Amino acid sequence: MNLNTESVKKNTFDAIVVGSGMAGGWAAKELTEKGLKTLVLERGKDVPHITGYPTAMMRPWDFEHRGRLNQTMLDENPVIARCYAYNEGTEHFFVKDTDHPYVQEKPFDWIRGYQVGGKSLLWARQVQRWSDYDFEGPARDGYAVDWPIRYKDLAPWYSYVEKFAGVSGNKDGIPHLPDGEFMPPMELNVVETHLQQKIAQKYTDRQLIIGRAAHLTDPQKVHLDAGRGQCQRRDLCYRGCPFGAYFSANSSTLPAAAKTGKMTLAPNMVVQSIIYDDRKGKATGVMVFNKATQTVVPYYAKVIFVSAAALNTNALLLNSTSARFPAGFGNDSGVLGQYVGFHLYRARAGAEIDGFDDKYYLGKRPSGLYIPRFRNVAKQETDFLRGYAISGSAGRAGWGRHVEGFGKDLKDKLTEPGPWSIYLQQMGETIPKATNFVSLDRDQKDAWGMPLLKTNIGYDENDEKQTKDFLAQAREMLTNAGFKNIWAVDSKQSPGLDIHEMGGVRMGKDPKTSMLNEWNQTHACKNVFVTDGASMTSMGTQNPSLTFMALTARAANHAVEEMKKGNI
Amino acid sequence: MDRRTAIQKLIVLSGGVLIAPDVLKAWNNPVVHNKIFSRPDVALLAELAEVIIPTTDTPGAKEAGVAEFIEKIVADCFRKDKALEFQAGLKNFDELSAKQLGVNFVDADSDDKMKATLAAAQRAKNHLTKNDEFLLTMKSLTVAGYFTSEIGCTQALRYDMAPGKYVVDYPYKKGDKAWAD
Repeated sequence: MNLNTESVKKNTFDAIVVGSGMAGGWAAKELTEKGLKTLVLERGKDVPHITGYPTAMMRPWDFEHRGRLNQTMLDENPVIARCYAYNEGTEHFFVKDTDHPYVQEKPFDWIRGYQVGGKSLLWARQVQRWSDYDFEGPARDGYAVDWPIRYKDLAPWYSYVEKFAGVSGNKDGIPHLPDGEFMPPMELNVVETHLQQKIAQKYTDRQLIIGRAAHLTDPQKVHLDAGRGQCQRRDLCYRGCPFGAYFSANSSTLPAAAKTGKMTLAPNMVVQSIIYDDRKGKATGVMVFNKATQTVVPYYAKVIFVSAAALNTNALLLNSTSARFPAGFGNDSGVLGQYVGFHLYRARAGAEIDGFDDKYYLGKRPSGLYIPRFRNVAKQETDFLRGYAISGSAGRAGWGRHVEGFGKDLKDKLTEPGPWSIYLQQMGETIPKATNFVSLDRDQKDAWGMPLLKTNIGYDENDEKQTKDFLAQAREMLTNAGFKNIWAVDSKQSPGLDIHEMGGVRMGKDPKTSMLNEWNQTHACKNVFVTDGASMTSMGTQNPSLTFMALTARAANHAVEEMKKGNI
Repeated sequence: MDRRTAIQKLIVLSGGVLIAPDVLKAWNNPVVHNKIFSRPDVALLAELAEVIIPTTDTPGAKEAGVAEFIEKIVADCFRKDKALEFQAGLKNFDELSAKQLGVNFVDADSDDKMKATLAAAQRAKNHLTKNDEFLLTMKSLTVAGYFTSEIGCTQALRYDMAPGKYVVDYPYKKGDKAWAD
């Protein structure tokens, strides 16, 4: 009895955070800085800032295979092999498909990074704010449910996380892409500027800007004090940045949490379920598979933040059944796992251009051009709902281009930069639907006791129309700007490869049709918060991480206030 | 923080030494070391690579270690059947070149080596041999191996590990070198 009490005490914290990535890192920072003794549970290995980035300072010739991976391994891990950032320099930050099976009832490329810091080591670092044109989308266009918040609710929290994360960007004054707390912007190169000007001359509804990126272009005291420095324009970000120049949980939020002395960071701990106490009417902790001891152990806390990555969060809630919640944690509405969305990344376009042979660039810019959504922004204008943003970049071809012949002539040509070309990528909004859902396969479990996730996520008619529109518009913009050899293709890639899966545990005003309230708090159990991508009611066209970060910081602040009031 | 300070700071932070590639071995990179090529095969790869990317005012493929790169890539990164196909293509190239030149490719002078290479390219174009993609694969491996080597990056191209800035409108005149990866 005494022993048991002791072990319960040892395993009891003020707060538990499930996941240590983009959202989890923010929960850890905010909760510990507000004085809560916080346990951060991470299913993967530890990745300490700098020493956890073994390839960060390697030169091309330092790699045994110069960046290439073993073909057999690629064949055995076909999903992860499709990710653009997966190579010899980064593969240790991705899971292997073979280790982490899931069931694709419809094809879905689930790209995962299981480690301390999660995918915050692997993200594209583009950080655009949402506007009310996004938050009001479901209500205006009649899909999903209305968001319980608006831009004014999140704006101060966008500012809060931007100042700490460090965001480079230009104040463009675009109503549907609000400006933020910006350091100096990265620069557009000459061909991107050319397209920018041609678009400005031809169109009144769209604008090309430099992407807003979570890179330190002018580090402030808060960054320098944390050992973070100026972006070196290496564009080797996916290996982890030893300069701490881009925002990751590893470089930024987790060290801040550690500094408080209040954080216990526990890697190799797979959270299986949330413990619900019927008598108390609230959650009391989580059941955890400890990889080191191969045992399942309970941990307890007054408040629980679930930020395990969108689909993992869905799986955890679906697996947390009890007498009170037979259909999954907090699932009184029955919508848990449903209304999953993603970003439509199927189509891309590109072209070459003459006339800039006397121009080049120095340095490698880890950002690119961005064209905010221009379809159906203020009102419905097309035969499809919502629209798409476009990202891309221009540059001169390198040695990988095709040049005929052999010998000195070939060598001479390839030592010089080739023609300028540009690349544009569709980033479309999808409509979350009940029929795009995830569930659990109760018959198959992974090595850590979790039922396998089943994905039923596919494209719809709206996606097809939107993709066609992108192809036509990209072609038109490039033609108008004098580009040649224009191509525009629908890759027909599966959903998931965008790595922007969201939803399943959506926010909403009505507990009958949503999982979370306006504070990311489970309607049915006020001491459980879900703050990662799972909480998204609709998808927007913006890279979503900034919004998860702001939602998390806001929710953590609310949780602590509620605890002080005795409501949690 | 300027670039020099940033790099110095990094060196301090990482305990005075940059992280050694050996650390990688502790991670989960499973490398299969297949043996595909004999020593004469590697010598032939080196000679053919040197024809594709020769020594000019900068060292060529041979000095840049391209043959060793190809040996490793084909053995470790190709599917087994593709690796054996490539090796068969090399053998076939050697035999047809010897027939054409009257001497072994490795012993021929540089003009004859180029002649044999161009003849192989012509055969590939006309699909006359069963391993006709061999020379294209060989060319792309040679180019990749060379321009990612230390010689290729730092002598043939310009290499800057931490440029510190992105300069647009950077002037270019014919003959200026491209930036390495």
